Amino acid sequence: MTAVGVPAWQRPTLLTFVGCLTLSTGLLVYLADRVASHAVLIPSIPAFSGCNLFGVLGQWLPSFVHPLAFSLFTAAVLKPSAATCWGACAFWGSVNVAFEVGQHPALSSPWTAALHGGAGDWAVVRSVLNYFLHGTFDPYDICAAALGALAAGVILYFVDHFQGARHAPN
Amino acid sequence: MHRTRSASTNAGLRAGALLGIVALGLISIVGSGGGIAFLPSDCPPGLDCSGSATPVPVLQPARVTAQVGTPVTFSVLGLNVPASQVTYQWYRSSDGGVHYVAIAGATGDTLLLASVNLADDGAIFKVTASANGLSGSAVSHVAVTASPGLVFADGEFPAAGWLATPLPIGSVPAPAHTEELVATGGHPGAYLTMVFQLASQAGMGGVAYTSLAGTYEPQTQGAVYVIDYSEDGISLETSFSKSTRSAMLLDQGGRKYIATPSDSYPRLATSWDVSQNTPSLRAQDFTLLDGPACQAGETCPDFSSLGAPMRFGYWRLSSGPQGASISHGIDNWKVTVWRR
Repeated sequence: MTAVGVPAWQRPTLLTFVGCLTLSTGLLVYLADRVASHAVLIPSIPAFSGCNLFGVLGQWLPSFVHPLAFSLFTAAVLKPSAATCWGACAFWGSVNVAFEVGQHPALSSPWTAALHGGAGDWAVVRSVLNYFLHGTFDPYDICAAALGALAAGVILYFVDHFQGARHAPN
Repeated sequence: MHRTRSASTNAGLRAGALLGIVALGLISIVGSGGGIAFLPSDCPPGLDCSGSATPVPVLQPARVTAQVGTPVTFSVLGLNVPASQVTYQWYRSSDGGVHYVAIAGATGDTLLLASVNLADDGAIFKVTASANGLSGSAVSHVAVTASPGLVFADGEFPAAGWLATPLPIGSVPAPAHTEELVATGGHPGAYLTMVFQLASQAGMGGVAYTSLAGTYEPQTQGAVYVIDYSEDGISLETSFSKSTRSAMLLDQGGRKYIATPSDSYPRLATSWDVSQNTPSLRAQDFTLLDGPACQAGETCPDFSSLGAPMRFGYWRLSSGPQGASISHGIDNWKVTVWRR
């Protein structure tokens, strides 16, 4: 059998590379399509600002990209197996869905009130509070996060399948 | 043996990398969408953000007291949408907020009243911020008096000038407490530190501090219109589990009251918090902390010219693990009594 295989030692490198590539796409959305300086960790670059590269897709692309990239990063450091791969995808899909659901108006106020009362007035807490209070709940973001996790699972399946095929006896 | 150590090292590296990835993943979610205070998230230009982009201006001050002839400035300090997208209009109400009249030419993010007069007393000023067809507003209440305020202040806190009264809160016993004047490190100079030792079964404890330096006598000095209060506070604890709140204290006729501004008591920061101002306090802004319940026909507290003498101070409430010792400080305590 002719294999397009991925040697075992290259697996983490490949997954990290694909993860970085997809994460860069998400970063580009913030640089080009989003209002400047509304993200704490992403600087505003005037040369990119206002390009609107991704159109309407830019609204949901970060939600798709994040679980995809971090599922791949996580799988890259774990021993390859179906359980760890799907576990990584399920974890990051769930985390993204949970953060999105937390922005729902029915949940954000009591949740942030509890957090504010219990965790004090720290910069990290303020950022988390702002995330839930000022973030926009969007059901399509939940779909995008689920699709991102699923896409990561598919990528991991093919990477590990081809790797297995390469090492299979002819 | 070597193989075992190598395997455990690999497992440790994997675990470390995994933790790093999880931390980075969570930080990137919050960092990309959380935004800094008063800025929005998740709203690409040109798209409807389904109501979250309704401007919510933060107006300072929310209440202000001024003497006739002095200037008053209102400013929009924060906004949840980019300032470049927003237009402002200021309004004035002279009937308690029932009707507002637009102020001609007042379309900036600040409004200056160059010289207030008695006609401005009780007025409510409102700013409306509009963006993308949506608008939000905030109001500020103005109190104007003809006579200057009487100031009770202390930045040195001599031991003989204050009376500390530990108070139980319901069934929660009062804490043990010690106070110490510290010569430096205040805001600036000397300041007072307080240490509350919570009772072994108590997760909180409060102490009322009454200034003995001065008394306000409504029967000879006149009815009180409003009271401005400010203090600089600091928490000397860095633990999440220990916190302290503060409020103005009013001592009148054997009862102790605390001011209850609508935004709750300020929680002290670990650096000097100089934003603890509660201006324009009226009688209804105080609640009974200690003393006999208010009887029918009584006014509690009584701001009228028939009221009993008043002393002022502050109340500190610390909370933390049962039996904990909690430290905090105060500087630049100031009460201004305004008469009409």
